[in-house]
Amino acid sequence: MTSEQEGASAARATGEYRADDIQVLEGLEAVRRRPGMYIGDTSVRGMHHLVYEIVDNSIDEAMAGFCTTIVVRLTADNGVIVLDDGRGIPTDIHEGQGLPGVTVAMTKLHAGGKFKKDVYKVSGGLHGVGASVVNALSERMEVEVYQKGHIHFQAFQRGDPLGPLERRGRTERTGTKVFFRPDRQVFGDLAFDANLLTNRFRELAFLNRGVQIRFVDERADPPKETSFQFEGGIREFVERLNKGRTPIHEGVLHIEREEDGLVVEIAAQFHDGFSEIIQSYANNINTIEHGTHVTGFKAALTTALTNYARKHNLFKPQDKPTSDDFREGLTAIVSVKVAEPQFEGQTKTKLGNSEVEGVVKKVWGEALKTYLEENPRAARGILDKVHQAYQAREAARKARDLVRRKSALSGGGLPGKLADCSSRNADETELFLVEGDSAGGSAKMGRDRSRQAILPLRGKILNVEKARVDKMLAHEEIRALITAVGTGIGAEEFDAAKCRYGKIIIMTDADVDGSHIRTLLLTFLFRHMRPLIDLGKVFVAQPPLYKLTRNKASRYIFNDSDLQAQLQEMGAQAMRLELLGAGLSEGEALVDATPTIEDARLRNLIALLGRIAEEERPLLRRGIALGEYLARGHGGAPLPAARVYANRNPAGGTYVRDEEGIAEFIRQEEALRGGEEVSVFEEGDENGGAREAADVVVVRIYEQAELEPLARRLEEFGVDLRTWSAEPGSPPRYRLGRGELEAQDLASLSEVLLAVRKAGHKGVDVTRYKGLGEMNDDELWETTMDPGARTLLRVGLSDAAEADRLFGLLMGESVEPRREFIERHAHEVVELDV
Amino acid sequence: MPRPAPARCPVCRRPLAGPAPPGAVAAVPWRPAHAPFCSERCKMVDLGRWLEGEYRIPGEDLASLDPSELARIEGAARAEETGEDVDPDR
Repeated sequence: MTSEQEGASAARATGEYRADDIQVLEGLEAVRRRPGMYIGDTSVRGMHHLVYEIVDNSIDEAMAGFCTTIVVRLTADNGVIVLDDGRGIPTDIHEGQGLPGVTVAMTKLHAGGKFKKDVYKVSGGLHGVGASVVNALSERMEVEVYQKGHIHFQAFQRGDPLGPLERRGRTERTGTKVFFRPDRQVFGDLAFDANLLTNRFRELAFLNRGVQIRFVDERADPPKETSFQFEGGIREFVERLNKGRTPIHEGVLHIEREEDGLVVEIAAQFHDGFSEIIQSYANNINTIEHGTHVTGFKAALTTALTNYARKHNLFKPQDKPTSDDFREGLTAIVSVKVAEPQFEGQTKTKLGNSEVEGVVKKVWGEALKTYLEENPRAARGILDKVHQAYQAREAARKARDLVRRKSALSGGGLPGKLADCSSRNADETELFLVEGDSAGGSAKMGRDRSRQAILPLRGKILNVEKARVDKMLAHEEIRALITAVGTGIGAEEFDAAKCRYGKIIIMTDADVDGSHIRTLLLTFLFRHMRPLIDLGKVFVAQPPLYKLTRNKASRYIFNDSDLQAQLQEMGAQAMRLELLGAGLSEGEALVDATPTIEDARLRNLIALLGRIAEEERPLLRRGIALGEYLARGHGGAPLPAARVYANRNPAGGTYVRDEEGIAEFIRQEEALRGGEEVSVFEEGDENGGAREAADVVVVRIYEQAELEPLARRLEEFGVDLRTWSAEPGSPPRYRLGRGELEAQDLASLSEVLLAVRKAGHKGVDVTRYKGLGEMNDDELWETTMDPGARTLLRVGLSDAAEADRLFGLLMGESVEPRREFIERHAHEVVELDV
Repeated sequence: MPRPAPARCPVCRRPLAGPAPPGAVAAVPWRPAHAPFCSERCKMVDLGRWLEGEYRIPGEDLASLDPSELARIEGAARAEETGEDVDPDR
C-alpha cells in the first residue's frame, strides 16, 4: 500500500494518470439486468444521467486543473459526443487487469480514477458509477483518447469491446472523446431534452468557474449551439438569480476555502424581497433536499448576525427572531466538494456527511463575521431586514391570536365597552365609533337601541418626556374595533362578508384632537379593512358645530360657511344697498336715481360676496390678496390663472392668464439671463422645498375656476370688481341701510359683507360646540344620529387614501415640515372633505 | 393641486407603481389585495405596529399650552400610567 500511495502522489505531482490508478471493484454484468439500481430509473431522467456521467468525468479533469473546454454534441441519431481537452483516460496497461486503463474504465463496474481519493481529491458523479455503466447501457460506444502524440480508439457494443484499443494516427492534442447512443432495448424511443441538458450545463459552468461548456444540438437545422463560461462562478450565479431585485448591500459575499480536505464555496446576497433561495451542491450535484452543508450554513448565518446585532444593540431585548427571519430575501449558493459524499433521503439528494456541517459553519461563520464588521452599512441593512421579517411574523401571530381568542369566547368575545344593538340584520344596523367616553355615554343613551351600536374609543394620550403630548390608539382600542366589526384581520382571516353592521360611522369632535382620532381610524380602516371602504360601508358623522338661537327658536349649524350664510341671510333682511357713483362699472351711464339693490337681489348679492370671501384665506396663504386679484377681472377680463415672479426680484411679479403666460415669463427670464435655462419652483409643491434656490416661482391660482363665474355674476349686479377692498380714507361707494336711520357709507364690498354679518349677529345667540360631550343625549340624537335628520358623509377610497397620506405627514420624522403642513392645512384638517 | 408623489408602500417605502427611472429597478406591481402595501408581508408589519401602539400622532409642545389644559393632560396621562380609566374631559 505504501508504495502504491507514493506512486499515486508522484503521479499527482507530475499530473500523470496511469492505468494503475484505476481500481477494479466489481463486474459489469448486473448493470444491464437491473439498470435502475445504477442510474435511478430508465425514464428520461435516467437516460440524461448517462450524459452527466460522461460530462462529470471531464469536469473532474477541469476541477483538477487539466481541462478548460468541454464540448457536448447531440447527434441526429440520438447519440451523444462528449469531447474534452484534459489529459485523456490512461492508455497504458493496468497491472491488475492486464488491460489498457481506458478499457478497464469502460468495461469494469466501479472502475475509475475517482474511486481512489488521491487521483481526484474530489469528484462529481451522483453514484460514481462511471463510464462503464454508460457503456453497458449503450447500443454503441466509441472512445478516442488523444495522448502522447497518438489517437487511441476502441469501440463497444452494449458494454462488450468490438476489438482491442488501437492506435489510429497521430495528434498533437490531448483529451478524451466519448460517443455513445443509449440502448433502445433499455430506453425505448426516448429522446434527449435539450432544455434539461442546457440547464445542467449552465449549472456546471457556474459551479466550475472558468470552464467552458459548449453544447451543440445537431438535431436542429441549423444546429443550435449554446456556450457557457462564467469567470465569476457562483458569485455570478447569485447575481443572475437576483437580477431585477434590489440588493440590500453592494456586491455578493463570496468565500472559497479548503479545510480538512473539504472545499467550501459560498456566494450570498440579500435583496429587498421576501423569498429565500438557497441552492446547494455537493460535488456538483444539486442537493435538492440540502443536508449537512446547508445546516452548517444556516446555523453560522443565524449566529453571526445575532452576535453582530447584540454587539451593536440593533435588537430590543424582547425581540426573538427565528432562524427563518434571518434568511428573508436571501439568495445563496452553497457548494461543497467532499472526498466521499454520502447521499441520503428520498431522492438521494441530501448530503449526509456529518463532518461537513462543522466545517461549513466555521468557515462561513468567520467570513460573515469579518464581512459584517468591515461593512457596517451592509450589516445594518441586513439586520433591518431581519427585524422587519420578525415584526411581520409577530404581527401575523398576534393577529391570529386575536381572532382565535375571539372564537374561543364566541359571542362573549365582544369588547366590554361595546353597547351592541339588538338587531342582527346587518342591512339595517350601524356601528358608531365614538371619540371619548363621555360622548360615548351620551350616544349610548340617545341611540336607537335596536339598530345602533356604540363603541367608545379614546385616543390614548402619551406624555412623551414631558415635552409633547402624543396621541395614539391603544392596543385595546384596535382590538375592540376589530372584534366589534367582526371581519377578522389579516390575509387569511379578513372577510368583509362577516361585517356585523351595515354602516360603520366615525363620530369625532370637530376639533384638532377629533380630526387626529378620525385620521387614525380612517388610516387603519384604509390599510386593514379596505374592502369595507370599497363597499361604501364607512361613514363620517356630521355633528353640529353651532347652535343658533333667535326668538327662542334654535337651529343647528354644521360648518363655518353655513354659519356665515345664516348670519348673512338674517343680516340682509330688510336691508338695502345703494351703489354710489364710484361703485358703478365703467361705461355705465350715470343716471339720476342711484341704483339700489334690495330684497331677494340683495340676499343673492350678499351670498355671492360670502362665497367669494371664502377664497380669501387660501389665496392669502400663497401670498395673493383677494382684492388685488379680483381687480384683474374688471370689465369682463378673465381672471389670471397664475402669478409668476423671478426670485431675484420678487416685487416684479406678474399675473398671467394661462399656461402660455407662464411659459412666456420663463422665456423672458431666460432671455434676460442670456439663454441660460432657469429652474422653476411650483408653490405648494410639498416635495420641492427648494423655493429659495429656484430662479422662477410659479404660484398657480386654483381658485380661478371657482372665482371666474362668481366675478362675472358680481359685475352683473353693476358693482365694480376693483372695489372688493379699499385703502383707508377711500371715498364711500356703498350705502347700506335699513330705513334711513341706520344707513352707513362703506368704501368696499368686503366692508359691506362684514356689516351685513354683524347685523345678522344682532339678537342671535351663537353656541359653539367644542365637542360631542357638550351635547346631551337628546341633542346628539336629533342632530347627528337620527337617520331621519342627520347628514352622513360616505368615505370614498380617495378620502381614506388622503387620510393615510395625512397620517404619514403627521407621523413624519421631521417636526418642522409637519408643523408647517398642519398649520397650512388646519382648515382642511378640521373640515376633511368627505 | 400639487402633483401627487408616486404612491409608496407605507412600510418599506418602495414605490408601488409608475414608470421607474432609467436604470432603476421597476416599481413593485400594484396588487389590490395588498393595497396600499407592496405585499402581505409589509401589511402584517403595519398591523403589528398598530397592535404594538407604535403609531402615534405627535401633539403640541407642552410649553405652548395654557396651564389649565396642561393640568388636564397631565392628569389624563397619569391616569393612563396608573391604569385608571379616568375620562380626561371630566
